[in-house]
Amino acid sequence: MEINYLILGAVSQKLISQLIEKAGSNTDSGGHSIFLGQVRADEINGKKVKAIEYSAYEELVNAEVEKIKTIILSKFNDVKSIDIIHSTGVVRAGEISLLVFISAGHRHQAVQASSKAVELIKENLPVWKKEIFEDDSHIWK
Amino acid sequence: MISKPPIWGVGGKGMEVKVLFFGVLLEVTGTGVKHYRDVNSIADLKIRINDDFPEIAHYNFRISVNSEITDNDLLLKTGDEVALMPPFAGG
Repeated sequence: MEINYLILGAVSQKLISQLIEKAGSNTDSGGHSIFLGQVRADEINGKKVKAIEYSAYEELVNAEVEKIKTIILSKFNDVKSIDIIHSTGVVRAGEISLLVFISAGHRHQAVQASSKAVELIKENLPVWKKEIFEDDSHIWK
Repeated sequence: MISKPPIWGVGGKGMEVKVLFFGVLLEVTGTGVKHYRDVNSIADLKIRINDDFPEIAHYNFRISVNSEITDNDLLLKTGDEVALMPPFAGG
């Protein structure tokens, strides 16, 4: 299944189940670690976040995700597959804006690799976010 | 990333680069993209951008040329894509 690293809007439950199903076909895997980043209804100066609008430099995202995958595969030799999807556009509070799905032969590396991947994503992905409040004002994060 | 092949040489008259503004800079400049003609280098480009958008001096950003982040004062050629990127906030 062809997956792009950026998706417009929230990561859907349908996509998450598709990835779980796809992961099952790799019979070398004994563990999957799935991280879902959710938009949190933060409260800032008495105003609640109702959504985040994400924007990204697409070409650079692709290059950076490839680098992250290479790093993960070189550090964790038991990892069998890595899927990374980040939202662009508006994602509402309670919806998922980041998915990291790692399959490995064993649980230990699945969990460690997933944690490392999220860290690398936060440091290196050219993605920006605008927090939108309930009164429609916004701030850039 | 594969760079676009230059139509003309480095700098000089008749060359044009595309500049992308990301994150908060989109708001600061009021545009996601602007073309600049006849700029020799990143340093030149920065001067021209500051002239157009003095507010931008208040913001931190990194620069990439054709999808490669750089801190160097590179020479620019026509067709180059320069991106101004505030600190990342993904994940």
